[in-house]
Amino acid sequence: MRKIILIFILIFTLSLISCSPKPEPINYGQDVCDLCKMNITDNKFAAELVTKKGKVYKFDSIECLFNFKNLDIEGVEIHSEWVNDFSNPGQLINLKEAYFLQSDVFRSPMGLNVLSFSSKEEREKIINQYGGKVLTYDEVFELANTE
Amino acid sequence: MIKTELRTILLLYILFLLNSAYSQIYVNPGQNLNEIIQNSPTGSTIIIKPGIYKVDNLIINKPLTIIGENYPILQGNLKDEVITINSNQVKIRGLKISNAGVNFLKENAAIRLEEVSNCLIENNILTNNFFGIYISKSFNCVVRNNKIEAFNKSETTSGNGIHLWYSKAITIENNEITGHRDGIYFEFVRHSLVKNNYSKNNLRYGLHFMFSDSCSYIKNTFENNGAGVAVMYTRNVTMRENKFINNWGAASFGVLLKDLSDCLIEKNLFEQNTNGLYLEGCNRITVRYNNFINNGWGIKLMANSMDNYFYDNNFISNSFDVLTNSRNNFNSFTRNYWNKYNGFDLDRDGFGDVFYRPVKMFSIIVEREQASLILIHSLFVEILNIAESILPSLTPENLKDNQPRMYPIKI
Repeated sequence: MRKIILIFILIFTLSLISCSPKPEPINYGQDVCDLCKMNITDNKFAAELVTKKGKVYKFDSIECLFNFKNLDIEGVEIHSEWVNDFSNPGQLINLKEAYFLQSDVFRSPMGLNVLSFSSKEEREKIINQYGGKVLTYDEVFELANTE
Repeated sequence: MIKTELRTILLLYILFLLNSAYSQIYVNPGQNLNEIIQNSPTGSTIIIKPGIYKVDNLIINKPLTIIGENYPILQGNLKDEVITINSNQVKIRGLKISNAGVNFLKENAAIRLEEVSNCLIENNILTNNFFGIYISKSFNCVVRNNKIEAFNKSETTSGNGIHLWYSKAITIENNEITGHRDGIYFEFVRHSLVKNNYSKNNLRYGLHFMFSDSCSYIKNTFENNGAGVAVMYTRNVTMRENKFINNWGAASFGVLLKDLSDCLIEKNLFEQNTNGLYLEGCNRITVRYNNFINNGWGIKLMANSMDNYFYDNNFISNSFDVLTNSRNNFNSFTRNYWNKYNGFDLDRDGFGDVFYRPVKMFSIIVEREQASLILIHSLFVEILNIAESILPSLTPENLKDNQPRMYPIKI
């Protein structure tokens, strides 16, 4: 009996240990962008921001995430930022490690038209086919907040 | 002198008749439609006989009139676009077009107009296409009497029914759109008219426009779309005599207005929506002669909206007439009819003698704590509301209608 109680206590304490914050899958068509209130439908451009407390904010595009970051949240609260990989729609990649390309051939939900890729090679493929302008993280941030 | 002029006119007229008579080309099933189009002289009329035509991607790069007899079917290959128009003065009438391919890199449409003017797309039936009609960088075109339908289940694999991008002076009239992502979508459009369309059962919005100044939306019906109608980052919009009906869901709106200024919203019907009219960051909007009937929230007026005027509207049987999330109010409500108003009109001027506060305390509690909705019809809540209306503590004190009507106005 005592053993069972001990095991229960053990399980209970284990369940109290909080897991580290991580992004959650976006429910396309149901979830709403936390900045512009639009339903998130495009799985090539959607983005996510996770706070240290584990709260997840979802956005329909990287420009909404950067506007939100600029206006509505303190930098110290941010745990991680995520964005869809343009080459694998629906696959979230870490925004800090993404490779960016601006190309007006492709239209993002809010009109900044910045694509994010998980690797340089994937980006090269699109550049060779459609052209576009290579950007860094900071340049995209600037651009999103000057539009 | 006059005689010679007349003669030339007559001659020209005869030439014109001859010209139009001679350049009629008939196409039958089994013939190569693409070759015929490429080889026909400029300005000719191509008449397509009934039947099924397999099409890869028809490119029209000269002025032509294409007319279908009894709706011939142009079937795309499910990979490419069906018809791409790269020339001015193209008319397309009476075709049934299907199977424009879903593609994540290209926005394939049944009919695309790319940098053209003076085109007419009418009386077509478009079924099962990624995008229906896609107009980019064009001006002076008319899209009317088309039936556009798709059967997609997911929003990520479906495009918009009528999609406009960077265009001017476009008329969208009498179309019926169902089952697409957004029924009608405008981005960076100017001076265009959307009239008498019926947009229903679309996955996201019945109508959605962004950065599209100076457009009018008149006598349309938007029914049972995923989230109603959304209007963002725009100035100078007129919305008149539309019906926004049956948009239910946690994030659904009859009309969602975000960052708008200088607009007129009049004579519309907002019925059976979770949120009838939602405003966020809106300035100088006039809302008058509208009916708000049976909505969850008639109007949600969110912070940082200023100088909006709401007058001569009817609010009937909404669970909550007006909700705002700020204690200050810089908007004016006057001369509306509120069916929850229970004051008297002793001086018989048609307006109640005591002001009416449409924002109920309970709606503010609900806004903070969703689960409390379960108490909506309890006696306790009624008492709270009455106490609050006498001594406002949570609700904005100056959000009140000083002339509440005793009877609904006829609109």
